[in-house]
Amino acid sequence: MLGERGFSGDKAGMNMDPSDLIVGVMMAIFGLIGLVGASGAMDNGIFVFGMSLFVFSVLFIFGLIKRAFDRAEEARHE
Amino acid sequence: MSEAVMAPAPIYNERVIKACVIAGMFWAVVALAAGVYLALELTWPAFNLGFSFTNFGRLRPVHTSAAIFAFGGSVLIGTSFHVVQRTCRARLFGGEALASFVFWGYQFFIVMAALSYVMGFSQSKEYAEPEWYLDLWLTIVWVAYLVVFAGTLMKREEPHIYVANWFYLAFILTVAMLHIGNNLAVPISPFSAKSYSAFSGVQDALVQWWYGHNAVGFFLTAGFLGIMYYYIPKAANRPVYSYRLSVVHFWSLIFLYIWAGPHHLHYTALPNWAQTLGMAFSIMLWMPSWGGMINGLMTLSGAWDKLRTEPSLRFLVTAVGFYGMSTFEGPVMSIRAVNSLSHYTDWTIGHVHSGALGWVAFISFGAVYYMVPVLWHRPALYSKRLVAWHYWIATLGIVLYITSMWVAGIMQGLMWRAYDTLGFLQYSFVESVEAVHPYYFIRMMGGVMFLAGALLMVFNLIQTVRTQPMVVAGRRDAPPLGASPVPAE
Amino acid sequence: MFGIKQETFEKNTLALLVGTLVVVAIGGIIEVVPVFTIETTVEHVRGVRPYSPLELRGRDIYVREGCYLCHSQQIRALRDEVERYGHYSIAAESMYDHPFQWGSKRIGPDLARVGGKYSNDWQYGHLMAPRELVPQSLMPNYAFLAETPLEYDDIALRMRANRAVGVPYTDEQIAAAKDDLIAQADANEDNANLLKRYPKAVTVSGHARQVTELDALVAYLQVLGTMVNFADTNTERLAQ
Repeated sequence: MLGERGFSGDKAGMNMDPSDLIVGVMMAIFGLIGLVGASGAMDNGIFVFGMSLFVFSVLFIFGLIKRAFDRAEEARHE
Repeated sequence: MSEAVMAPAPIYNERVIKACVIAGMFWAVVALAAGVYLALELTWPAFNLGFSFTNFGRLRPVHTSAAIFAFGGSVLIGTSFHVVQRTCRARLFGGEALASFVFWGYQFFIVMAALSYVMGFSQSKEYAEPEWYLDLWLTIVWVAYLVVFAGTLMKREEPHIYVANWFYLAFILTVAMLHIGNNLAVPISPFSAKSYSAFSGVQDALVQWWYGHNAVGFFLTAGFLGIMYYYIPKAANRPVYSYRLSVVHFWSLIFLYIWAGPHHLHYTALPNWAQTLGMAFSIMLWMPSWGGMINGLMTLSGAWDKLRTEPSLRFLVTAVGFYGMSTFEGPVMSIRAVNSLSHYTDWTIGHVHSGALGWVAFISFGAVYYMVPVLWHRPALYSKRLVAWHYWIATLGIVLYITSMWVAGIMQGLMWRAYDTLGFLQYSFVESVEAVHPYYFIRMMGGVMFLAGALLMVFNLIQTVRTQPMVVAGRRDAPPLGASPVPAE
Repeated sequence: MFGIKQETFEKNTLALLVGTLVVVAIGGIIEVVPVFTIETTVEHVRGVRPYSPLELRGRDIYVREGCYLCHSQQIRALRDEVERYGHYSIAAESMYDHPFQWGSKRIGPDLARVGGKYSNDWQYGHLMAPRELVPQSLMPNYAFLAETPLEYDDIALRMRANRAVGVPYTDEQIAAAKDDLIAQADANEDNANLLKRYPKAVTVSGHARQVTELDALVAYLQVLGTMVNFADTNTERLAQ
């Protein structure tokens, strides 16, 4: 108990926090925008930013998924 | 009140605060190291190495952005999340995901901005160098930040909004307004990083300094005053000196600051009325600034002995002292006659750093020294002696920095306007460049000392987390003894 | 005051939000808006014209390299500055500068009227290795600009973006942009049309085969502060 309480409740398994979903969808959209930007880029500035935005979005979404599982795990152990 | 006490205490989102503290310290070292390198280039230009990306012109925005937005911003986001949760007795609004988005989205912005400068993309607006696409990204992150912060205020369990939160809210809101206003631009194509500012010439200059001075006023002042209003009372375990003074301080400060920008444009092509208005409001600004300083310092009345026992307090209090000094120097420099001497010289650089190192960095260090044991549930810092070393090395570093820049700046100003007995200009420009060389070296040494202090701090903090035993949260988690609005437990 | 109580703001997030926004907006509105609307803010003088394509690209490089961080482009109305650098800067001279390049610090000298002050050759040599010409200088070497070919395929896009924010480039100027750019970068080209469209544009002595970023930067520096003929006007007219 390090000051963290998952919102996944006491039920075992995945119970998603609505904010995970909203932010996840938002990030997916940003990732797509990044890809589109990089594909049409006229200069390195947009290319690097677009690709980085895509990678950042993917990693962030992975992070969200991992946290959701971690919280479910914590809830099971309580 | 009894309800709030009886209700199970909400468990705060501390993950994001810890992340902000770590990022803040990381960026502090980066910003200071970049500053030292730039000072080295100005002392011995051969250290430019001849690459495009190591040039002063491209690295200077890296230094300023790392100091203001990366270090300052991470500390502000972290402390604001710390303060708002504890003074509202509420977990951050928007869930863990939104708070993480604010943190990581902001860090992503910083890395991308620094990368874009060295690659050669800049709007050339001071403290607003990132190009249009990064401005858009920051706008998204900033709106999310506002949603989290204001949302937490809305779901608070306390009847009153604590004074520190007024300052944080004003900071978030005004920075949004300034950022959007100053960065209006038309890109040459949606697929190109290059854009042209929506404004030109004199209008662009005024909009830039409306932004630029309030980056100081709201990012580097209002936000950090939020830190002052929470961490000094907490570290000293005393209520804020005067509630009434806080109210006057808040409203007068945010009203007056916005007008001060044109003092960056004295004797230029900006209309005279605007220059005069900027100067008048800058001088008026002295009053709320010192009102705030008095409110911070007097909070310690009856508890000055804690300076000896509470390591964070020494930094917090010295920061407020430097705040008082800078906010006196600022109005003086905004007077047209003084400005005719000081403008374009290193005096300005010295002034900025007495604020940036003395006020912003010191109050951040104080807050972080206080927060790390609280957040990581450690009984105390690893070493108080190291804190003392940090304090003295850094303070000496600041003294070297600002005194050398005073001398250099005033000397430049006087040399540029000196006439010989025949009525000709006495010095060529390059003679003034040569004359300041020793002071540039002293400035660099000041920077090295400040950086060394920060490295000691990083070591101390790492050791605190690594070696100190973990304890269950104690009294320190209680909200501060407020200036009436927030009761003590 | 006005029956507004502090308690209202302290107990209501929305009230605090709106109240803060109103208080911080007042200063900006009263101070900034008139500079856009008062007609006399920017003087009416002859001579100020949009930058030629090569100058515009040179200006982009000036912005990119952060030259404004060490060089101001704003001569203040002070006796010593006017004697050192020339006539004080007037607002009209930067009316096509998106963004402005007034700067805030002089690690090097002001550049508002550097145009024509030195020869092209001096500018080339100085930018390549400043300390060869001025031993005490702190300026970095910009030799890499001479090795970087200038990109100008997108010059029309750049001019159109400038037009979108208020620079009066004509369709003719945009259509002829590449020709004008090449004409200005090569001393052997016929520059009659260029000078018709952009009076006082200085042809730089490029190395003919390829236009470099250094050519563009020198062309920009050489036009700085030369557009307005101050013999044409006087203080009373400028003061309006």
